[in-house]
Amino acid sequence: MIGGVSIIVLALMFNDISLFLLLIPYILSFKRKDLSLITYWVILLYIESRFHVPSICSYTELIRSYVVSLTIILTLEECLRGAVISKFSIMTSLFLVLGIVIPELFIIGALFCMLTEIKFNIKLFGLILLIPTALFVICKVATNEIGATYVQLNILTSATIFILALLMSNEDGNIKKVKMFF
Amino acid sequence: MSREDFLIIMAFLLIFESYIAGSVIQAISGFVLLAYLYSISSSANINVIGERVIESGNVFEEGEKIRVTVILKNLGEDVAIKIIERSPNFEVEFLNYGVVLKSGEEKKIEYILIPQKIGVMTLSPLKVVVYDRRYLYYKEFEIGKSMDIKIYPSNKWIKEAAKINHNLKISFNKTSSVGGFEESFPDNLRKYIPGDSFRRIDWKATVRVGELIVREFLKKSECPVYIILDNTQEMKKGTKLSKIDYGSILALQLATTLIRKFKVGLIIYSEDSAEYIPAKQGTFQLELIRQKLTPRNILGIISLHVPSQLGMGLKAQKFKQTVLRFKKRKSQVSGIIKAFSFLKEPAYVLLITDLNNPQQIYSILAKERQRHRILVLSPNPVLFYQGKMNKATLKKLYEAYIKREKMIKKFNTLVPTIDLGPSDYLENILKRERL
Repeated sequence: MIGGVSIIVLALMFNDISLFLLLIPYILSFKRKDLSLITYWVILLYIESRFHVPSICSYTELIRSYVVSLTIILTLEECLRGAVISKFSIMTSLFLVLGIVIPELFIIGALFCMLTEIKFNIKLFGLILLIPTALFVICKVATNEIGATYVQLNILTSATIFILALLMSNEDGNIKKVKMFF
Repeated sequence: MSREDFLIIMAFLLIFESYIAGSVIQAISGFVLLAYLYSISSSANINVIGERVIESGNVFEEGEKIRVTVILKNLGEDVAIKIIERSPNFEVEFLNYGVVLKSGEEKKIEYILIPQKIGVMTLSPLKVVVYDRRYLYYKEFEIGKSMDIKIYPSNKWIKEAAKINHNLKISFNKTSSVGGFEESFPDNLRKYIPGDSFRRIDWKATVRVGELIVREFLKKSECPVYIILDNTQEMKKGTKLSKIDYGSILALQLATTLIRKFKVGLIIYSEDSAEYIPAKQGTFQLELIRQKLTPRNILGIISLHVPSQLGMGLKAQKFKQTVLRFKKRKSQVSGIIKAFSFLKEPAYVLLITDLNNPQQIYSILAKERQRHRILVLSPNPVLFYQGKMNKATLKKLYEAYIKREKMIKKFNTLVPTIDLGPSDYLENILKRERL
């Protein structure tokens, strides 16, 4: 439910109907998960190309980027797990809808949803999310300028590779990965 | 490719896209996507315990439904469970393959196993695959121990045999026409008593002793019937119906029909051992025979090898002596010899074997036919073949069939031998005999 609501809210926030395309993998996930994942991947690459944020030094751009990213995660979560309707999801939906007016409420609603519904390691996720934010804040305060887009991209890529290394080292021998189209 | 790998690729493609577009937002999405993956991977907690319960023991009848209960308890986060029964000799019914188990929940799953063969069959441990609720990760484990389940031939075979209103034509008609079978067996010698038939006087013994000696004969119904069942490796092979399954059912049908008038015994022999039930009459004896007819099957394709001749040629013997000079000789007596050694008195013998070791069986039958009246019922391996059919196999089957026909002819000169197919149960055999 949250995934569907967040897509609609995002489309209204950015006034872009192409964002409704994200509903296709969301609907497909009820039938075939792998097919839904592939569709999600194609549509995500298309949708992301429609946004252009050259720098996240400004607060508005940072919030905007987080809103897009969290929508992607909420949609992916529901594609994988299936839609869930509960009183928490209804409460969260209210925050997400209010995000049209105050974008920060969207982020609070999404994080609240992750805490109550998704139940993954929210502390870890929050910490990871804080890394680029902290990095940019420090740079901004120290130098008053963080540099060109590619400098920011290099910092983010390095952080992503660092998380990938953490993910690889986290592998448990007893737990296996599900193959696609199994 | 795993789903997790696909999502990692997706994250890095987003970063790649951000470099092309010169925009940071795609890189943030990729970064957040990987952070999400890492946090769910590090918090994945799959922990399910369980046990398999079969309340009705481990002895069942052919075709009987075995009720199995699996008790599962989830000690981790919400999971989806897939249960896989891996025993090929059982058909599974009502097994709900996808079961969702919430955190801390305990669930009982019931399903039914239907044995496909008779004999002793191994029920493998149950395989359980537990998926996390996002179907990204899974864990496999086994429930229960490997256990042996005994499947007796069904009572339906006894009922079917009982319906057949036929007075043992299967053995006596066949044997009298082929082997010159007599009405009775010579038993022992005694002095002549007035009133005895002159035809029974043993003239040789009379001359030797110097007084009239008559030969006593056992009546047909006094003579015991022994069903000897071959339980060697080759008989056990088969993917669906093995020759031993067929042989067991046939033995049970024969016992059911014969036990009304005869004392019936059963001998089951393998490569190097034999098991024996002395001949008796009555329902209890029939039940005893039924319970003994639980051979252990093995999975495998039936060998179509038929020796071209019963005896070894001179060249072959010489070669064997040269090559196998140093081979250790088997100290144990073969199973079929042990089987015949149980027969202390003259008996009717119904030998159920596929003749996979014709040389040995031929020499034993040649010796034993002096004492016993023997009928060989032989399941034809060609007719029991269950492998894939193609041009080469058909040719091989045809050649094997021709060779076997020749072998059966040779056996028929010694003792009556009937070649049987998978559908030739007692009723069909009798019908064939009438024709």
